[in-house]
Amino acid sequence: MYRYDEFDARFVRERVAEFAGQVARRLDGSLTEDEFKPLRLKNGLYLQLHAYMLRIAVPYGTLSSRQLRQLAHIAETYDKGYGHFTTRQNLQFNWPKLKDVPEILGLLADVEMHCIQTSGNCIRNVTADQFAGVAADEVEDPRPTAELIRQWSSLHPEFGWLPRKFKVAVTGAEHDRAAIKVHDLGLKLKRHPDTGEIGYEVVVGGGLGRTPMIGKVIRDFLPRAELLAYLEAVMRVYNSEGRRDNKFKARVKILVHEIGAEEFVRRVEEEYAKLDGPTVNAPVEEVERIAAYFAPPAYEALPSVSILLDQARAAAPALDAFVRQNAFPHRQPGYVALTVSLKPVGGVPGDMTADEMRAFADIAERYSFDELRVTHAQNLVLPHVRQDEVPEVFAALKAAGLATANAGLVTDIIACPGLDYCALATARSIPIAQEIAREFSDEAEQRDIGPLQIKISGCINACGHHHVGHIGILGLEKNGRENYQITLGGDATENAALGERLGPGIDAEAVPGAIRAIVSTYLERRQHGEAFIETVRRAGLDPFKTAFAEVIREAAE
Amino acid sequence: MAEATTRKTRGPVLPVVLSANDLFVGEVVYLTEDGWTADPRRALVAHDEAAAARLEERGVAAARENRVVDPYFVPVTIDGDGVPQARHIREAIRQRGPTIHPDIGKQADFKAA
Ligand code: SF4
Repeated sequence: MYRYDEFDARFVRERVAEFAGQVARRLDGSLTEDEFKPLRLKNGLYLQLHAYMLRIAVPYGTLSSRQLRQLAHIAETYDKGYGHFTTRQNLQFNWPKLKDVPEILGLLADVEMHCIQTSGNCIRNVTADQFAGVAADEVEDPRPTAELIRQWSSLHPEFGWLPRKFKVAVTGAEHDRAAIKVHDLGLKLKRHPDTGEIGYEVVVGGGLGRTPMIGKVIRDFLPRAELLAYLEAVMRVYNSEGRRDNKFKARVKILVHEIGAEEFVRRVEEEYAKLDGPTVNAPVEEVERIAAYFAPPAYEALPSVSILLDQARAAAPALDAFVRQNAFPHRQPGYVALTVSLKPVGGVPGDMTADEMRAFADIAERYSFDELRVTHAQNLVLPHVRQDEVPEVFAALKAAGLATANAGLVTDIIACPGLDYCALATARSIPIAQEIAREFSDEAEQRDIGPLQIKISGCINACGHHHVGHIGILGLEKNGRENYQITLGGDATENAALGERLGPGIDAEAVPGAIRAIVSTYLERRQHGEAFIETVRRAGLDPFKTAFAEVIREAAE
Repeated sequence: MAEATTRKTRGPVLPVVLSANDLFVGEVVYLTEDGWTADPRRALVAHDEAAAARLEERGVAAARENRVVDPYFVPVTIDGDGVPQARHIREAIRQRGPTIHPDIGKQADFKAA
């Protein structure tokens, strides 16, 4: 796992000291709110509906047990005993006091954590596939790339005040679990079809929010060594030509859309030709130094199948269901990655209490080489569990209330904080997720329905990624009431697609019934072995629209 | 999640209370006869424009003195117990706390809120 070097550590400490000074000056009145606000946002501190909110970076979603324990300590001492994992693999505290924030940042720095690049118009904390370095379908671990970009962008003098925020995601796998096509910039590590050399496919201009767009491939193959210079060219074009006149048109997706992908590529290549690549690109030794931090842990040589686990599964249906649903194939024989769902029926998606954090930190320390991951679906992962030890891990997770066997199923819902916390929200998200989960609480039924992603946002900003949910739900306000629009057919993977509206918005109470009608339509129409999204693609929207219209008609009666 | 840039009301729909966030703590506070309170039941209600203008004046001054952040009017109705209740759902949630956590926020701190 990446360890800060002295330089990183000093940089973070300096930022803490600087912000502590700014907070002190705000509290003694030397800084006005207007002066202070951009400074606090640069340090991940927002003012939300009820209180301040602190967003903590979890670069590429990787954490150690020690770090999670520190987060538990902060949650208990300075917050209300819990934290919230977000769709950007970050962690948010909902109730910190401004006067305590410098102390909290100091505690974070003690475990090599910070809130830098979690807010503001900069290159944000880089996200990655949660199974990075583990997945069997991976060309290469994407985290060294993510870390390289973090180091390059943190202090880059040109890119501190971009027209708007800039989000980057990296995957090293064939199957995209990092949603690279809906980021400002997405990178996919790949092998050159002829030479076998490793490089990147570069995607630019994706994004959700009020103008959702699927990113365009602007380079099929970028040799690995050229990464930073090429990104610098992309950022320069965006920085100088992105629209600063209108906040809603300032993301790079609008620029790509307005001038067209071809013209964007032309400008990037023109800029790239002017750059002195070797002075920008990271030296090979540096790339290797970073990569070395992500070297795999000391696995044992094990047989690829665990008889012990097979026997335990045969004897315990709950364990069997958990493994079937939450286990992910590991590239190392005898190991498995386990998704740990933060979506128990009736819970708050992505929330974790301090007690759960501690229990989970112990489990990760004991059974997963002291490492855990955060997923963009607001779950956690134990990346390296010995198959033999899965029954023990399952028992420990169960004791901690963390053994929900629903990864990827209808109750594994992404929901942004919505109107329960967020100052920008137009409607609540979390209670909608809870009601849908209750509607489908039967585990056997969930398994029968199979993979189905529901994603909910509490406003048009789309933090809950509703556009790319197989079923998307957008909460709006209509005549002073919460009102929900349902979309169908979205997809966040390599087959990225934006969902389409099924009909007019509906009341909160009608949402679970509407989802039920959509699911029933799928069950009636699915062909052998077809997943929900495949049926939607094949059958089209019409049958679902008909079912949805029926729900609305009944509700009106 | 992004952050609201400004929160302003046009001419307020009366009656109103004046709300803000405490600078040091961040907690939602309301203006009373003699300062700020975290307890929405104690908020001073303005029933006419002159009273609302006085609230606003004091709110602006408190923001200038760096005691609170972003003061603004919250239109309310007065319930049977004489307690001001925010009309809009956003403000109603702000007055009580997250609806998914009845054990947290003002709804827990001030039971009858
Ligand atoms: S989508 Fe809207 S309501 Fe949800 S967290 Fe983002 S800004 Fe807030």
